[in-house]
Amino acid sequence: MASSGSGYDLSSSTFSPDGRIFQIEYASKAVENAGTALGLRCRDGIVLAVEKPLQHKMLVSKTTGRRIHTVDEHAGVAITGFVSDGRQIVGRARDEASNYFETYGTKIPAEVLANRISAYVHYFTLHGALRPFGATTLVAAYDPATKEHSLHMVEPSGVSYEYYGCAAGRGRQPARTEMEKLSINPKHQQGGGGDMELIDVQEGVKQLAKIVYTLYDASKDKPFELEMSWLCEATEWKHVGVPREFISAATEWAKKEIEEAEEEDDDDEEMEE
Amino acid sequence: MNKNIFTSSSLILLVFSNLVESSAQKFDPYQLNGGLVAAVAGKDYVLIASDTRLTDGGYGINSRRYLSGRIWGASSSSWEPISTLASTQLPQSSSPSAASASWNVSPAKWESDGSLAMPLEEENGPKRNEHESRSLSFPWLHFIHPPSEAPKNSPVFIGSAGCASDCESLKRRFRLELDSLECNFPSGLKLGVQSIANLLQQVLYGRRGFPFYSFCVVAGMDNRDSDGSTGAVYVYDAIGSFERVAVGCSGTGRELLQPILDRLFSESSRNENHNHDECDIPVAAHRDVMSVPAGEQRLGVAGSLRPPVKSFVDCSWEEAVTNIARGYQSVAEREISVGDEIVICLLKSESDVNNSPTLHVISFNLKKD
Amino acid sequence: MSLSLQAGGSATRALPSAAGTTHTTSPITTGTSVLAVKYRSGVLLAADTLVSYGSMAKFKNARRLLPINSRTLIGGSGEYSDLQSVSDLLKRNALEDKCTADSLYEEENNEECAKEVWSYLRAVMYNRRSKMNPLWNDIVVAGFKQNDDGTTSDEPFLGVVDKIGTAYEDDVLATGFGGYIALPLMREKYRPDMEEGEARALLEDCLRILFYRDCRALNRVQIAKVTREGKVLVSEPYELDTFWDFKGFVDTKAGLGTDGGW
Repeated sequence: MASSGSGYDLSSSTFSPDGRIFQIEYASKAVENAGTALGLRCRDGIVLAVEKPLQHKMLVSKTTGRRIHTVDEHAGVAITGFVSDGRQIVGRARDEASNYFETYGTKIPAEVLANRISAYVHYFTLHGALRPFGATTLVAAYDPATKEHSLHMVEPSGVSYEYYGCAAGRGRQPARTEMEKLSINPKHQQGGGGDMELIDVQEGVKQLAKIVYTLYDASKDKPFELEMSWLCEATEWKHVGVPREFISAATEWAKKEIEEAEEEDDDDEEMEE
Repeated sequence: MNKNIFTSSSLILLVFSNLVESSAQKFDPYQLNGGLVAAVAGKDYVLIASDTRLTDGGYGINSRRYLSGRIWGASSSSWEPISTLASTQLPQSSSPSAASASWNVSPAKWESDGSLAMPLEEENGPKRNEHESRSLSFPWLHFIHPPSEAPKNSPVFIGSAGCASDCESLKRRFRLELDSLECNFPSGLKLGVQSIANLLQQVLYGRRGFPFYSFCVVAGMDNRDSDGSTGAVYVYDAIGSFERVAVGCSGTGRELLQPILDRLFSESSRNENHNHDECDIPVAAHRDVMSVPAGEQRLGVAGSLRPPVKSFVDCSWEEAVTNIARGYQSVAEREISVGDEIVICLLKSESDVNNSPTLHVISFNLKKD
Repeated sequence: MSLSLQAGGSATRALPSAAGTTHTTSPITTGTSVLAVKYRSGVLLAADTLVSYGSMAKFKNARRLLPINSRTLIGGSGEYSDLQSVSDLLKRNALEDKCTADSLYEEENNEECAKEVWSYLRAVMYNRRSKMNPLWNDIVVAGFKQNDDGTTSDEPFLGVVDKIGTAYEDDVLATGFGGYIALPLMREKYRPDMEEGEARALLEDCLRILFYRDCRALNRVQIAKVTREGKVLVSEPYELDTFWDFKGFVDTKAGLGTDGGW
């Protein structure tokens, strides 16, 4: 590998002369090759979606190798990358949530949960004897105290930010571009209408399905299962799976939209000719 | 005067120290919740019985229908024979007499944890009545033969009474131990009653320092004899001392029940061996009828002797059930921890149908006061 | 792994040193009886809302009937702090079950049924008593049994566990003082086909009698039920009517021509 660190990449406890920690970059690479995970903050909740590639035709997909997990009643995470690394993070996240509740008697706020997860992930980038996690975690949570919902993403480096829409995995770049088109980060920052201008979760599910299928190339890519969960007003702010019928309806809609768009493109091309 | 002062002050001291002592309650991890278990080994059957009263260790009755820690199967929960056996019926006679109305006969049902389920009162069956149960005569019952494919392995039962929480824990610990043992056996091989008896001793003695207050009996069919199986009963103390007996009991009121059973069963075997005309002869002068005379102990092979006491009774199972019932009734008259109901679990080997055993549960009311 | 556990977050907490450990050898803040009875379509529980500190009526609005998951209810008497910690433990287990279930979809999850909770609680209580550090409670567990496939069965479940791990099931149960005063009354009146109103009236009568006769009881009570439809409902605390107008209570002996007093 051209960019490999010629001796500086053996341990995450060593910087390279130009200030990089190669082990962390390799860990990020592991995520970049995995199925796309998307998170979208909507007006009335959060939607998480993961493209779960089906590695074998004989796989029982609905129950095994899940990518979306519940951490507490009001919090869920989506993972991508090395799934087994991800599950380690999920386990820790549950402990943190349960421990916070035991100590303070209130549900863990999203910010705190994301920070605790990132501290845990970060710790694994500090020691020579440890390997950083090859997984990125999307954290969707609702805070019953402030009645606010938010979406965070924790990367293998341990860095964590809050997002309106975020993506990790193979299709993250085009996914981000697509999400930006949804006006999900509206005039909010210019002092506009804030969250009220966001789409709702129903629309969010459809749009995420559309993005996933836009990125998917049936001739090149492995078949996949679309896992989706939400945390919204309608579910009483509990993190649960999006009903399977709803996912398949959204999928149908998405496929039709994509087809129509392609036809239009074809038409345009013909016009140009 | 001085003496008076001395005695009154020492009296005050005594009262005071008593107060201090009683206010500093010490936690007692034990409670004797009553319960009396008994077992009888016959030539071709074995039975195990328990009452169903659970006391709070004093005058309170926690439950009148407690059985889960009292009689349980010493085998893994996945053991098929138990459920197969449970399907056999022991119906009541077509000519019900007034006395038989106090009996309740039902097929054995098992809880998922291996304990015997409390027999339910049949809805349109005879209503059990506590007054009737006091006048006891044996109801005429007959067996329906079990299905011919009934398993060869016969179950082994353990009865335990004393501290109910210890009995429950003993049950779980013992069954876990047995499960892990039998998992390593060639498939289908089960421990015999003598091995179960020894294992129970190990488990009980394992808690020698902080004993299980569980007073146990073990009952099962001993298949070692070439000429069919005989009943085998073992009785224990809380820390694992045990011996094989023909008739044994354990738990609250065992001091009352054991001599009664000894007497009843010695009478029964006498009736079997002798003419009924001789019944009136007082037997007090006789030796222990369970003992085997020295001359009969010899097996013929040099150096080998039979046990000096009989390990099973000679009487019929009908008589054994009646004797047990009478014994329990007597104990219930004097021991407040024994009462409510008695459940008898009868395991009988059927020589005519592949030697496979049948299993029945017989219950009737004891005093409720 | 031990290294990593000390990192970042606070999943591990400092435990008090073993040297200063003391065990509960007698209860301090206590709740009195819990009454429970099966009825036609489920199980009904009742308890008052008093927690006493010795003979002082310390907390008068303490809830002792607590739902554990969507189909199980517990009611506890004895040391109130121990009851709270037991309830926390059971709720934590229920949440963990939910989070670690095979599916994201609620209807496919199998929460612990009452019998499982009861059996688990027996083990917890027995282990604590074996360490000579008991949880000083009698805890009633109510709900439904479950079928082999994990679905809720039609058979109601009612069991109790005490501080040394004695566990038993029955159709009627009463803990604490209620075991002496209410239980015989309940046994007499109990029928398996009681309607809810009938069962509720029975429990309220017993609570009232307990209030009259048990110095650690209160007429402010709660009733809770688990029904066949899988609902767990706990009432808000309410007050029972009491009657103190007996002639002997109201009129002093002075009125009867004596020298006063009752």
